[in-house]
Amino acid sequence: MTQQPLLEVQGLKKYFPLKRGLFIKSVVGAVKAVDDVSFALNSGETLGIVGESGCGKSTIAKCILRLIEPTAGKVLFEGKDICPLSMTEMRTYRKYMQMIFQNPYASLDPQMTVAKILEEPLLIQHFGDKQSRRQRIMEIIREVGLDDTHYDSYPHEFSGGQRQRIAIARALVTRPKVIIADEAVSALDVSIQAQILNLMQQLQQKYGLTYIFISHSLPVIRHISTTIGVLYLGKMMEYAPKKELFAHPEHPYTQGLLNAVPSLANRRKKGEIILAQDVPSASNPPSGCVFHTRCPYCKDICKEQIPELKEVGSHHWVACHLW
Amino acid sequence: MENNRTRRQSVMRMICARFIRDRQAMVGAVLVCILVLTALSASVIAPFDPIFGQNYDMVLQNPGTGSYMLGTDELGRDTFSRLVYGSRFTLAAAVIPVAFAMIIGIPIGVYAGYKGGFMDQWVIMRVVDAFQAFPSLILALALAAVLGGGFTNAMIAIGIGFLPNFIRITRSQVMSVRNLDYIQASKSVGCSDLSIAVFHILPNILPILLVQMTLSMASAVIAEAGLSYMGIGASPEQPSWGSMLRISQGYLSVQPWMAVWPGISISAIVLGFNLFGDGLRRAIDSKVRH
Amino acid sequence: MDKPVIEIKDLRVEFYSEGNTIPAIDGVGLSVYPGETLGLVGESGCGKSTVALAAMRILPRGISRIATGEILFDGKDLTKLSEQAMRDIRGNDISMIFQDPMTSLNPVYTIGRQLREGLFLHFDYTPQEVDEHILNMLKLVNIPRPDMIMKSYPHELSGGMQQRVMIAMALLCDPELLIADEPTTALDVTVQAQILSLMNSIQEKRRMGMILITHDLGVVAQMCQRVCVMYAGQIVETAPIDTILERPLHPYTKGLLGSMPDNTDEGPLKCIEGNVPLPGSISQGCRFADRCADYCDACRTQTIELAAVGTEHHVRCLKYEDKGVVI
Repeated sequence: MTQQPLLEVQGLKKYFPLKRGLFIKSVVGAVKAVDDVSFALNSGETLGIVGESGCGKSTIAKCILRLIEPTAGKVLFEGKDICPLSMTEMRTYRKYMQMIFQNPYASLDPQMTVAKILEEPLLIQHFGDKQSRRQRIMEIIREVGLDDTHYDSYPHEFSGGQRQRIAIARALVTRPKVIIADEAVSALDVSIQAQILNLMQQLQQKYGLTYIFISHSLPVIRHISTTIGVLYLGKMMEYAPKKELFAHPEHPYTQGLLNAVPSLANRRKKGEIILAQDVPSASNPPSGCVFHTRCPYCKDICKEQIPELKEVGSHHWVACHLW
Repeated sequence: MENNRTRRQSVMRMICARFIRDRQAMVGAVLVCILVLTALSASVIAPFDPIFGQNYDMVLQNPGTGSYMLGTDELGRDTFSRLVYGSRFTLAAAVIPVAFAMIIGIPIGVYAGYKGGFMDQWVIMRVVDAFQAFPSLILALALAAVLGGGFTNAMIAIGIGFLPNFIRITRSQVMSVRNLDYIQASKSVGCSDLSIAVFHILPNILPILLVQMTLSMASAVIAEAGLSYMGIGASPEQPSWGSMLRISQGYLSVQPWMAVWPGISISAIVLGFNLFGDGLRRAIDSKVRH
Repeated sequence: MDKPVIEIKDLRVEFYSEGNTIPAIDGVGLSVYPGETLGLVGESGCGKSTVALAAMRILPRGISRIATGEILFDGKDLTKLSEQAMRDIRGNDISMIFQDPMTSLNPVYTIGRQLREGLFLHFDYTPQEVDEHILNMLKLVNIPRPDMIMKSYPHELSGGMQQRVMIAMALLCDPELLIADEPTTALDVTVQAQILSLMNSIQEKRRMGMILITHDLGVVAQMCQRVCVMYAGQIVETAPIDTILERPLHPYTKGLLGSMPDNTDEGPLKCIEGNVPLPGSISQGCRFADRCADYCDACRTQTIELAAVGTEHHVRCLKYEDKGVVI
């Protein structure tokens, strides 16, 4: 019996219209930030979404939480489509899905104390009384490795790593089921990054959390994910469990990406580049398979037809005309 | 484990600390304080009645004659007392129009900046553009003339003149803050737009608005002096510094000191507000750089 | 053995802020040989960028200065040169490229104009010779259609292109030393691979010395022959790249390598507890003592020098001080 996925995204699309004109602006095209992305997430899993700039990974996160309205597609939480809900109805679901942002220096309101920042989600969800809120906040502060004395401090008194801990605390305070981490460790130093990654894994164990972890850093994604989705210019190129992806990367882009990452273990021989050129602009994507301009195996069909995701192994999906 | 800071420092306290260390800013603050204190304690400080203390024997006297510290005017009234009572007009001129502009302008600016859309692009900003097409003093002049003269109408006119500026500045500040992560974070937690505007956006743009407030106060003082000087605004017997300047113009060859005192006072207080505002801006900037 | 292109000895740079003097870097010494890439590695706040700015004498004026130390280049001490003499050296003998190409290029001038500027300043070429030189350089850095690019503005180029232009600009006057401060941090990983490969091949051809400043040990592993690890304003370990990766000695270096999620092991990363100390907060003893797994009381009180512990391997740690020779 297959369990129902906790979170499912079906055919998600987000197009940003491009407008031209002097006074009355007419729509001349669209930036297809997210173009038909689908995936399903089971409880307790960590989905790693990896890609370079313009691939749409942050936009997906914002669409799931409806910080941006999707152009098309469904977002199913425990089977229920949350896209058509009004903002008031959406509020009940917000306690189950939370987000951690990239920039620890911009994601905390500089005018509020830690206590106020952590209390806000509880107030909105009408949680208990002042006493029980204070208790919950104190608990969470300790969980993320901070001191009781930090209760009354302001964000600017903390380092980047500590601020990210506060951001994690804010995401946890309503005991959510899903946490989306949008480049949550990208702005941190390596040693602090390690602390935060460890913390996130501990919390996942303890509270049975489900993560969507978005990053451009393959080593981080490799460390923390159970399943990985590789995105390029708004489209999912490959989707597989972690070990499978790293053992048998099938899509040429995934192969190029893996090869490009400078790693300590295998130092690439000089001169061996697989992917040339820059990532094309999202406002003018290539026709057919969006990767065909950089693909070493490009055929004629790749320039015309968009490849569908096909299953090539157990739970291993690839969108490529080579299959 | 964390930084060695033992005192809880809110952003406001940090700005105040920086401000106090800035000598120029403190000069401005002192000048403004003098104005406020003088205005509040006018009845105690002034030795003579500013309107009815007429003495036809001691008309147009030099400073230092008898107990008239700064001399007398054309009706024998003590210039010093008039100056002191005039500070009330100046203070009112600084506070009332600016308060008016802020109370009405800031909410409009927040709405325009946060919601954007049709109301913002086509209604609010175009109205603001229309207002700003006039030089502000001309606008205030025209409005005051339409409303009829008098001090209160002058205040309203000047206030309306400042409205577009506050709307514009609030709007641009809101626009620069609204896409920051902590606003997105509050949205993701379920905060309504109104709560976000009041509890997250406003407190963070307040420092910049305070700077604009102090600089507007300086302009308001000049505007009021100008209007009173032109006869639209305070009536001649009211000791507004602007009217004092106007009256003294007719007696420049006979008693130049009559013009000197209100002139210096206006300059000093405008300088004070400007230094205060600049110092505040510097204090806020260095907080950002921190 | 060649003479080093640049040799920094005992450099100390101080910053002034609100009445306090803060030592940003302290006792820093390094040398770079022709054709060699030296990696300067550390996390934010360790002072690695400050070393680069000091070498070019472009530290922020008024709030910082070189307190002590020597920077020996081409037989001269750069710390003692006049501003005029330094201007002759910058861009000409020593070049620098920065992290964010978007802000390093002036948005209101064409690429061609900005590239010509450097050449006109240092050499007496005719305009035709200048343009020819520039086109050759743009081809060298693999920019397609260089004649079109010359007429373009920075915002019309992608990040990778902009960084190539920056490299071209830095190389125009054929410098002996190139300082690259986080040159690929702002770029996508596939573009980063191209840029690093390009820098490698150019350096080999010209026998140029390079200081590569980065926080990414992976990049260092690809590019550098020798590495200096910095922590809280000091160099804590210097060694050839293989030694650093296989036999790191300083607890911080070990911690840094252990923190990297590069390995295939499951389970928690071996991270370093605590936070980097504020600059200037620790004046005595080892700056890493608070976070070190095996520190002793002497670590907090004794001044620890960089000691040699092997061929070209130096460590600043009490555990090894008696084993090695103090420099």
